[in-house]
Amino acid sequence: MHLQALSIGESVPRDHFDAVVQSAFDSALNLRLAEEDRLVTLLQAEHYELPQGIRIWQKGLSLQFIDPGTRAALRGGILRFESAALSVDLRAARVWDRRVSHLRLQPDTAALQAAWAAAWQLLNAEQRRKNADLIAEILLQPGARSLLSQRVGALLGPLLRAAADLDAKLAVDHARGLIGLGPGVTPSGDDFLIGFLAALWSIAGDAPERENFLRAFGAGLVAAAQHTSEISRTYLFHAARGQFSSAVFDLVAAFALQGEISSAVQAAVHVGHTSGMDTVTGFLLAVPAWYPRVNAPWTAAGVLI
Amino acid sequence: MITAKRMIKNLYRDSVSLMQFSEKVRALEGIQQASAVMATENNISLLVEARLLAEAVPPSPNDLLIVVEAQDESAASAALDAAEAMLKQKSADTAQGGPKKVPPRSIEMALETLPAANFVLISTPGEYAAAEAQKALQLGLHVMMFSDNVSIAEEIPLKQYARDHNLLLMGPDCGTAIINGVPLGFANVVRRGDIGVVAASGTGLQQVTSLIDRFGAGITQAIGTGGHDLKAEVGGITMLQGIDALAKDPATKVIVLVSKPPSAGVASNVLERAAQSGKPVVVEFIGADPASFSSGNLFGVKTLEDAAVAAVRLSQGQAVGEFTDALPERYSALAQPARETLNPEQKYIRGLFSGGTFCYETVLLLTQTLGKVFSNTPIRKEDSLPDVWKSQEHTVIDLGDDLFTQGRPHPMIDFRLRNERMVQEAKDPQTAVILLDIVLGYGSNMDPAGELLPAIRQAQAAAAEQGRSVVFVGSVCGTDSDPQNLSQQEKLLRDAGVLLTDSNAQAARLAAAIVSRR
Repeated sequence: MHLQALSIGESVPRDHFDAVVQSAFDSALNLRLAEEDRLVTLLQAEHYELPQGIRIWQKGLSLQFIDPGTRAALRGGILRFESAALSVDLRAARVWDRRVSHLRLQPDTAALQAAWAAAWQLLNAEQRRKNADLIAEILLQPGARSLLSQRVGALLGPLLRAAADLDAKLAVDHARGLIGLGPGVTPSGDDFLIGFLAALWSIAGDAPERENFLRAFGAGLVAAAQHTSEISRTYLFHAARGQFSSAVFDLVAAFALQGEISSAVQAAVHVGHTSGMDTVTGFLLAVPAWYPRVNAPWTAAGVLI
Repeated sequence: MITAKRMIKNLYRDSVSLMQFSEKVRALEGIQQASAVMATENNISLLVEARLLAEAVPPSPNDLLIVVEAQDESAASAALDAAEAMLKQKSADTAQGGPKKVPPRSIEMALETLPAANFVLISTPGEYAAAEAQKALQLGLHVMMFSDNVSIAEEIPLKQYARDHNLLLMGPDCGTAIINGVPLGFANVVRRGDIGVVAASGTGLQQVTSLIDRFGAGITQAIGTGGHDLKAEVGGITMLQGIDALAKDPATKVIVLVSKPPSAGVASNVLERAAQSGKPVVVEFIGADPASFSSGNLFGVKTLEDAAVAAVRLSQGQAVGEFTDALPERYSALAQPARETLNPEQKYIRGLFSGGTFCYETVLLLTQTLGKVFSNTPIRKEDSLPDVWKSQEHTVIDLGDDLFTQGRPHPMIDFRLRNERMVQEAKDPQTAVILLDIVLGYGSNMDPAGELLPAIRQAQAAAAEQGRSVVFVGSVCGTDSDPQNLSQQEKLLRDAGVLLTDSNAQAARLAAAIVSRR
């Protein structure tokens, strides 16, 4: 079977790499690069974009027919799998390289604050409906109901304060408690941190001290990510560089461009079982870090820096 | 209680699968708690704190750690074995190697699988149905919306869009259709022929098409409009489109329209369009005076059975002829012996219906013959049954009403409620006749007679304990080609003493005949 790639993420090598299949799911297949400690992911067309993703022009095809351990190689823009009759042509694929930092969120505007309040309500309703372990508004209350909530809740305040103080070392110390924490192949704590980073990257603007904080914080997280799964580590690797999935990008874009918040939040929270909800939780709770306004909706919701 | 753990190397499952997996393990015998997480340092420490792990184990973040809390070691060991087997199980298709198709998850994906498809049936919960219908229409597909709970405010723009793009939108709440010979929703297997039907009523459409089949003729298309279509706000968009489509269809020789009486303006438009069709059109506006809209090529009738008879006569080139309210002799001959089994106190009919239109038609016919008939869906407001769970005098109940179907399947599928009510009615010393509809076809219960017979016997036993017997009267709507087989179902019911007629209208008249001369 010879397939065309529809799009490739900006961090996918375009011409040459060697890899081995790390894991295969119905809609995604992860390739471990031989020369770097990260994954490249083959995705079905209906999947959202990833900075490490190669979306193929084929719907409804389960990718589980390729076994983990199968070797693959990209040569001259064609990806071939050893002993699995599949090749993917990357040469005509468009590059997906959108950055949330270009969206420049401005949390001191009334429009963004209204969007935040709406998103907060939608998120909590969805988390309660799914009986999720992490429910955003409960994280802020003492005596959270699950051990996971208690852990995340206890780290949240110190992490926000460290970010507000632009203290990257302290922020990494607190974030380390979240790495690899919770259920899922990308554990909840990692998903939370990805949302957290998306918010900070999109708010940072031109302030060099914030960008410096983000680079140092990101580097610390990538080092700490040795303590989580390989799949999750790849997401954190990209988030540390300001690279996110299109599901996250679309959410941030809805805030920045005053788009349809409700549908953007719904799309974002429905990624995976809890991953999307955990990411949106991290995103919304990080917004106040650099905008701790007394009269903002996040202050009313109990997010105190 | 004890805890046990197992590490599974380099095994990845998506988070939805892991969540479902944990629930399955938790449901195993002797298991109190179960969890499957990536074996990271933080997760291990969390499990120790939760006392699901006795002590920390070396972290291994790419491996899956399964922990269980069980009542004893054997339960724990069995659960871990089962868990590992579940996780390592691949689907049969995948295990055989080679590409595997996953089921479509959207209309677009389904279209890629079947590019020539031009029709979609939508049966999602009502809140999602309008959006799916809009997507389908924008993809150029005709739509049948089986879903209910779609508001008229959503229905109108969908129907307007469909009409403006030369597409047909059947529904919302369209339970029955037969398109190009394919029964859709609750529909019967009928032979192909030259009669086309457009109906705003599901069981009305089933009755007319089944009787046409029983009378030896067949159907080209049977188009459902949904129950709101002939309301003034919607304007009969789908019925008008249906008339136009059948008028243009060279295979359709006769058209049948079925609906409760529409609002005056809509009725006028529908009749005008039918008159312009150039084909004979049988019109059954159930409850309306047929003489008021019979002229030229329009033939008004009074019952669903008359609609079928008229259509068949027209398709065979005969005159429509006259229709009578009188009970045919073959049925009136059944009335006298049945009447003799009743004692003087037994005076009333208790109708227990699964089809809304059958119930409505029965109330109309019985009211004309017997006077007051109580119902949960009365013709006159003053005949509304005060307590729907308790019959009084003549009572006819639509058990498909929302009130009865909340939290349970429709009574065409699930007979429990009707069976209980039959026994309850049989215990009432005033009950003379229990009147039933039995609906066959796709979607309905696969053995209605098998469901009803034990309850009929129980009801007769309850009456016999009080020195009485009750008469059961009914009609079976279906065909011999239906999966349940009409002849077999009728035989089982007749053998159990149920007096059967060919149509719902005749069953109502037979029941009336049994109680009216006492």
